[in-house]
Amino acid sequence: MNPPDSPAELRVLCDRLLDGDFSPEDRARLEALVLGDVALRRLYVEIMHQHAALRQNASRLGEVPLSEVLQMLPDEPSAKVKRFPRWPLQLAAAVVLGLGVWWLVPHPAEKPLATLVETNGARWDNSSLPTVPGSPLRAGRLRLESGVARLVFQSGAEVSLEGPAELEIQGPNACFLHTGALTAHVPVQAHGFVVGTAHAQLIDHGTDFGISADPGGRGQVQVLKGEVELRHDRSGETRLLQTHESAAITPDRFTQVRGSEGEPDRYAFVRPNSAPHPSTITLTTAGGAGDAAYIVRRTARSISRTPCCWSKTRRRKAIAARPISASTSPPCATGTWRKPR
Amino acid sequence: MSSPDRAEEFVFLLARHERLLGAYVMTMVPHPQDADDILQEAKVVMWRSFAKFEPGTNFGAWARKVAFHQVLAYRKRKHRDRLDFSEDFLRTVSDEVEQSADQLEQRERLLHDCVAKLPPEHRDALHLRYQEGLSLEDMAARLERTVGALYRLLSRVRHVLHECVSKNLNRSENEPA
Repeated sequence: MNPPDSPAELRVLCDRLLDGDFSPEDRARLEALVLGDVALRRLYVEIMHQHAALRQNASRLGEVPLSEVLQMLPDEPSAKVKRFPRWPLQLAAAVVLGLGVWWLVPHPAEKPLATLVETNGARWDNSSLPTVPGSPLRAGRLRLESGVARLVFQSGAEVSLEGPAELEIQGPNACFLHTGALTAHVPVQAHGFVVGTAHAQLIDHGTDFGISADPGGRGQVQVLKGEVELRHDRSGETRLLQTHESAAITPDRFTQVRGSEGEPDRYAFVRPNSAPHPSTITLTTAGGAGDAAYIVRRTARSISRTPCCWSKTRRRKAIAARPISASTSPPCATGTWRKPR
Repeated sequence: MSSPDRAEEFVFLLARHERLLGAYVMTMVPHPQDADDILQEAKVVMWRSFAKFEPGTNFGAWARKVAFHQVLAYRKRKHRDRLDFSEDFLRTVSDEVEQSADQLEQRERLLHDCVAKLPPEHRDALHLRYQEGLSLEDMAARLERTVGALYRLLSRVRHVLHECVSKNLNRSENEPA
């Protein structure tokens, strides 16, 4: 039986193990505590698990720090770009964002259709759904006044909703965009993800895409990477859009998206060519201004098509970068990554 | 069989379980680079023996078994160190992770909110330590503080996060949504 202050002692030892000078004597004492008491055993595991979780998820963001993303904006001034805020508390936000990327994988044991994983300066209108990060979401409407909210559907499809917007969650892999704009990242297991709008339906074939809908029911679709299928309700027209293609939705049919004049283009694309990272798509927003600018970050090299391509920080993209070949090589060959320390 | 479907299934399962797997290895081998090496080796072994994995059974538990053997193998290979945990300790800790796997995954999900609630100074410290991977000495230089002060700060942040997650976990267990 350990004295009541043993948790404190265990914490001190763990601190030394993680940040300080851990001595052989410390190790012996730590072992004695952990082996001798069930509660301390659990505490040790929780502390180490938390440490590992912070480390794993923080490093994932190391791929694209927000500050770097912001610097990638083009030199020539443009209205869209100016809408980007200087992100307040960049570092802090970066940590939070990085952690937010965790929850991409669906947990089959849970019944909710989606999970709200992150909100950035989000202000909510009275929604029929809970609006605290981490909330499980069942069928219903989310009304976002401003800011950005990110949710992950049970299927794994990840949606960033940009306020003002109204999104209805309809199923584990389906939603309806009443108004506003969203971008979606759809991993392989969520292919077939459906976004309905007033006049057309979008069916994802494995993509990153953006879609917007105005209160009049008009909308725009832009494929950032991959392919989506559009089905027009009234005309019955179907259309396949590939990477970088776009279409406008009108009540009667699909049309071409007009360029910089006319309707404001809600999607901005920036393609630096010297980045060391593989194609990475980063979304960010003016947070509160109501108009989003999206950055597509690409490099000349595309993601390897062999399974030996994912790293800790790139796993999500690697999964998206199907098809995986039938090669017998391990999907995770050694030495593919090492975060320098 | 090594069809694309099989690879896809592996990637999916691994993505689902990899984070806890990494933490699992770290409870036994806290040295980050050793833990990374072991994890990487374990993933290769898992892929090679994936045919033996029975679909529908607990992939996480299977993966941890593989990883446990890799931890033992790694220890055998490398120079014995007086800081290495005993095998008894490894087995005990391994069993503990196995028993609380679900709860640990839940804790990880709750951790996000708790980090978001931290004051900026604390989040900055986490950022430098965990994202940039700085040593305490480098952090001290960067922040113009003493190593001792940062050591205490990180210790406090860990404690606060742990308490916050425990509290939220209790709450979510008491009132299921």
